[in-house]
Amino acid sequence: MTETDRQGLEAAPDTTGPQPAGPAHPGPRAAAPGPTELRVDLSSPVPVYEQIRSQVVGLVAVGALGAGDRLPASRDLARDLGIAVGTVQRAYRELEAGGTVVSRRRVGTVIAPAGLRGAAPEAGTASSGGEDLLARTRDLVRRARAEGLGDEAVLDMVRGALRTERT
Amino acid sequence: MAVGLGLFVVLGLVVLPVLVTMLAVVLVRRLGGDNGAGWDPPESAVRARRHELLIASASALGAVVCAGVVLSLPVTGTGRGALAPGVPGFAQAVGPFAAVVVFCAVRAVGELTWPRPTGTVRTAPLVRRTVRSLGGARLGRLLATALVLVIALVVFGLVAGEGGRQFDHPPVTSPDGWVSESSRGPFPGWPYGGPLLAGLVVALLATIGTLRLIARRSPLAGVPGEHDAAVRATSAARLLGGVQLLTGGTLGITLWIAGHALRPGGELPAGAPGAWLSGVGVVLMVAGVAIGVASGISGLLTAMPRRPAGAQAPAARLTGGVRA
Repeated sequence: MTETDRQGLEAAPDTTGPQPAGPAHPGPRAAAPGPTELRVDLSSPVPVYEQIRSQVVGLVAVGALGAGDRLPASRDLARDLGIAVGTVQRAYRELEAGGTVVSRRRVGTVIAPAGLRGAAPEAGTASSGGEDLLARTRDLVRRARAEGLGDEAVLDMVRGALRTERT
Repeated sequence: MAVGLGLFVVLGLVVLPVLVTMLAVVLVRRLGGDNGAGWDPPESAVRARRHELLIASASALGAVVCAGVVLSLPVTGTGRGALAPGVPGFAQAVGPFAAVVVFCAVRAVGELTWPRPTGTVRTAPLVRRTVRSLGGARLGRLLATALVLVIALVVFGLVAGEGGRQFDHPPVTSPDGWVSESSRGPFPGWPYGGPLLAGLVVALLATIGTLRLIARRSPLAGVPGEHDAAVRATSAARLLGGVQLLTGGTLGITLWIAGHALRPGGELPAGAPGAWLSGVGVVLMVAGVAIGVASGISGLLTAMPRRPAGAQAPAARLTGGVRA
């Protein structure tokens, strides 16, 4: 996971722990996102297109999105989020440049097969190592939440481990 | 007399439809669990369901008022107010599709009243929403009903007698040599079939357009994804249910009228040509009643709201509580 991917995930506010003081006009309290929902924070320093890109990459990495899954049309997603169409189109272009998605006429934007992506093995593939790693990651999240740790705390632990485990 | 007529108009076209619609709304809220007692949804979802029920009630009321206005028009096809001179019952024939258009128009306006995404934190599902995915099997049944209606109107138009408003029975020769010819009406020939086909096309276009608006509505802020999807599914089901009720009812009435005209007026001698038409007429009448009733029941059942995925039915929750 690259530094920008981590920033993108961090842009999604933590809803599991105590909520910090929000921005001036946060709007209605946002519900916790579902398994395949995007969550963007317009007040975040991370560009919205980057938030979208990194969250899609994350969903593919954990198997919530699989090869062949069709993403909404850019104008539909932009309308749902209330943002400019160009922002979503840039996110899709970045995803296609990274090999996460492919765009086809009449079909739209779909998640690329694992062979075309340079990311971690797709969850659910024959690689037992990949499945085991994903299961351990999920277990880490469950245990952390059981102990009352928020998403930011878990990410802090992962960042610390990445820094200290450099070879 | 003028006072009496005015009183009839007010009572029949305004007061009665409003009372019927209010009664339907109360029944839906009581039986469908819109008060949230059975599902324990968040307050935001409850508010969303109330807004959806308001839109559905307004569109149903609009359709009922339109139907009332149409039924009040003269049937004879003559005099002031007749839409098609010389074609009795023209307004009543196309009235259901006029009601569909009003139903869809009010629903479309209601869909535009949903709040747009606000706030700095926004969510959206990564799911493609299309007219086909939202319509599902209910859309398929509506299109099938429309197709049967088209086929029926074309066939009736081709077999109708001169003028298109009656069915000419085959001549019957009596044992003593007399030849008798008879016609029976009303019959849904081209004077009715053409406008009905045009009305059906307009009604379907209005339905698809409104369904598209429902699919394109932005997710509601603060409402969990599964509840938002349930509200959207409820909107689509109520739209398609109302259109199915009116379209299926039109098909049912058309089949019944055609079947009635196919049956000869009197007793036919044994072996007379066209005796089989009586059986066909009975089949059409029975089919018309069945289709009309099925469409009505199907349409009324869609008034009940859809539960979010994973939500237990109130009976299941009660049983679970007793077991615990």
